Amino acid sequence: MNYSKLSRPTWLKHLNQRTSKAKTTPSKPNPFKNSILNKVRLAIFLCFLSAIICSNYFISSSVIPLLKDAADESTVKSSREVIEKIQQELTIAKTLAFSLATIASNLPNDKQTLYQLLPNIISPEGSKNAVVGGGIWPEPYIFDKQLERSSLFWGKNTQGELVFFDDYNMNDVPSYHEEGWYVPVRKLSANQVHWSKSYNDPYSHQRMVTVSAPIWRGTEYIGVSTIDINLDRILNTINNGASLLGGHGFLVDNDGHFISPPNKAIKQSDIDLQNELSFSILRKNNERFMVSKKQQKTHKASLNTNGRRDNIEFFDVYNEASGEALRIILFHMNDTQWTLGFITPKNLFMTPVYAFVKKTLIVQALILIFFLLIIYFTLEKLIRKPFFKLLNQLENDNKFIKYPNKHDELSVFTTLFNKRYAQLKNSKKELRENSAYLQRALDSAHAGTLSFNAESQYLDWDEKSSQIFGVPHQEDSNKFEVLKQLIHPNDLDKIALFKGALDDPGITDYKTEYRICLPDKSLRWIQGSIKILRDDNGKAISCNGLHLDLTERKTTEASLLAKEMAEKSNRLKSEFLAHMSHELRTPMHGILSFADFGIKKSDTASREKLSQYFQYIQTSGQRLLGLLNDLLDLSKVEAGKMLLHKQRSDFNTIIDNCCREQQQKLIDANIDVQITKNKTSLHANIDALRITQVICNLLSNSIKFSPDNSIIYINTSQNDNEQLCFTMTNEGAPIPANELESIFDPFIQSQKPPTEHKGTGLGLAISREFIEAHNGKIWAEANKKKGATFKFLLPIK
Amino acid sequence: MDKPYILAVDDEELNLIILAELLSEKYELSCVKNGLNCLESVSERRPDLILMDVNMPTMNGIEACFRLKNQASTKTLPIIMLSALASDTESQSGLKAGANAYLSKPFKTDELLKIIKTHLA
Repeated sequence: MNYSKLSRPTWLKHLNQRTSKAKTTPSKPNPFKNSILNKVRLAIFLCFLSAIICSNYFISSSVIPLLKDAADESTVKSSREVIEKIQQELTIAKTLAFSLATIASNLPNDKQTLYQLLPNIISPEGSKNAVVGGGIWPEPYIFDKQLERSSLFWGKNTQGELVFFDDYNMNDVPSYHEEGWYVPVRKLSANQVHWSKSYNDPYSHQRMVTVSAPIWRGTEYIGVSTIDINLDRILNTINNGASLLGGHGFLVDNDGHFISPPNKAIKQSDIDLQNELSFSILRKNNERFMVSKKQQKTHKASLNTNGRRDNIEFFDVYNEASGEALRIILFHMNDTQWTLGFITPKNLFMTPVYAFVKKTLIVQALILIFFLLIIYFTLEKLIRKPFFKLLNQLENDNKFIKYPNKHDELSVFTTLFNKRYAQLKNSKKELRENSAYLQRALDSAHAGTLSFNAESQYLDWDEKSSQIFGVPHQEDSNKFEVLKQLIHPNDLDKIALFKGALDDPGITDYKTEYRICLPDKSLRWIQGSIKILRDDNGKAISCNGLHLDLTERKTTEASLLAKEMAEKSNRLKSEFLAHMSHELRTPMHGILSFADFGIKKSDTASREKLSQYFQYIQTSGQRLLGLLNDLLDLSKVEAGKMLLHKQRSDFNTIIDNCCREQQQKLIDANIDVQITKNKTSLHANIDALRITQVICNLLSNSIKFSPDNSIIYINTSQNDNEQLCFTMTNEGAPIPANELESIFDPFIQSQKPPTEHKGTGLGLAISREFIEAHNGKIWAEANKKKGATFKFLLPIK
Repeated sequence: MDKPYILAVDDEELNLIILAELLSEKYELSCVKNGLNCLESVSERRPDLILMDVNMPTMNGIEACFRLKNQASTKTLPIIMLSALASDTESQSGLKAGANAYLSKPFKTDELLKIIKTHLA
């Protein structure tokens, strides 16, 4: 069987259409958001970015300070070399000053010896230090009792030769004396020296500084020894050091004067000092040094080098004029109380550091990019390509998919997918078969499908339903109005009933039968079987169900019912005839038997006996006649041939007549009749003869079923509906509830009458016929404890 | 020799009078009006034969017959059903209940006498 050629079952199509309409339109897909690959790519990129940021942070927070420290160390080392060279020169000068003082104290008043000795000490042959002069300056009258003031001084002339002169006592020598040292030196002990301020020597025009030592003989102060040193060598050392560091150097003496001013490249106007740092030494010199407001002391190191402690300070300053960041390093020299400083552009230190960091970052980025590319291409080759290969197969082809690699996860996926596809295929096949089966079943049942949306009141049905309803089929149109027009006017309430069922949360299955009028005026019976789908609150959402054409069944049912009725009527007729036969046979049996006795015993029997036989024959004959009369009445009524002779009669009089007629029976049984009349006369337009028959019948029955010495109650009245009301209650056995209606059938008597009472069984049947012929109503009521009540209503007019 | 004792059961007085007229000369006759009275009477004095009507109030003849025929002491008691119901089904159900004979009313008096004689022999 070729299933693909099977048309989709109409009921399925029908249902699906309804459900697909209920779907909401999906939101536009976001190509980036919905792509796993893009998300993975983004994740890799974010990893790369965070790796860069982390390493950058690590370098700047840990490596850069280390590199800065290393740069500072290197600067300090270079600077220290400069200081050591300076210290060397100063130590030489100091030692010479002590030497001169020692000689002067040990060789008293021997000028000749001193003349020969001192020049050799001050500047020995071949010495290449900074010393340019020196000598002794005795106290007045100490060396020469005649001279108040004298000096034993040697200085280098312009040719570099050491020349003696006593500027106090010689006239052809310049009379310049730097004697600022004199007073401080007097206060010094033997192992102490005093360093002068720097000054310009008037003879050699050289920048100089003098170291002075006191000369003590015992406790007697006898003079001062001095050594002059040329600062040029020191300044050269500083400048060389500064150029090595890539900046400028300067030296400040203990008074705060520049021994060596900063290089001319730094203008005095640039120097601005607004703070209280150790730049006070500069301020003392009335110089304005540059320090920006952003200046900060970076650190103060105390380094121990060659057994000496040197205080070193670093400052980062900012030159507002040039916009240049600078670093200042200050070294404090303990002996001379001088301060050596170097100013270097900050970049000079940091550039290599930043260069290193930059290089590191670039290398790092390159390595990361390299790994990124490896990851990317791995991803592409191992995941994306195979994945898209599978996807393409799925998009282009709905059959089994192929995957070359047999061992990885995607191959497992492929296998499972193919397995699932095979299952799906089978399920689809089964579904098709089932659908076809169901459709055939629906077709064979002549059933159409329907769906109803409770909210929108949208009714739809399939083509088969349209055929059942005899209307042309229209797809996707609300058929509720069509149904309203087709439905039989007497069955329109079925729609309201159905809507009521929709609102009842307890109802999920609903069945209704109704008629529709076809265009050719014929009627068709339809059964609607509906399943109601409800939400959690019990509210109806939708309904699905079937239309069945019941016309044929209804026709069959009607003919069956007619047949049943006919059979029942037939059966009743037979029963009636059987009863008739029984009822007729009893008096007939009496007549025949007593006639037989009469004949047989006519010779032997007494006259009285024969007379008794005839009496029995007469009684039986009368009974037979009464029965025949009753039968005649009943058949007349049933044949519709009974004529009522209505005339205005008094109902109460009729009751009285009946009581009188039954007088003997009442006396025999000692039964009393109590009559309650609401009106003395109760006139109505009735057939007095028939109504008398009815009341006599009822009274006769009541007497039969009442025990002896009891009362029968009769009540007559007129109600608001212009009707006569008659009620008769006896105290006999109550009528079982299930017999209240059947006692009015012909030949039926209550099962519990006293044995001695037996009527024809036609009385109540005839009574009912008579009352109904008057458009009245007669019925019996069961009393709870004892007795029976018979009631009838008769129209007055 | 005593007269055979016959019990007649019928709710119709006229029928009982007819039976009395017919049988009282040769037999000792006793009358009751329904099946239940019949069973009571039988327990008091066992008759030699029972004439039983079918259609009676309180307990009908078929049931009374059935009870008597299912009781060891009265199993052999001959019962003749007399009924105004003339159909075959009625006679069948009477015989099924164990009745020895079935006569439909009106019956010929000679026939009844003949049957009684047969069953008393």
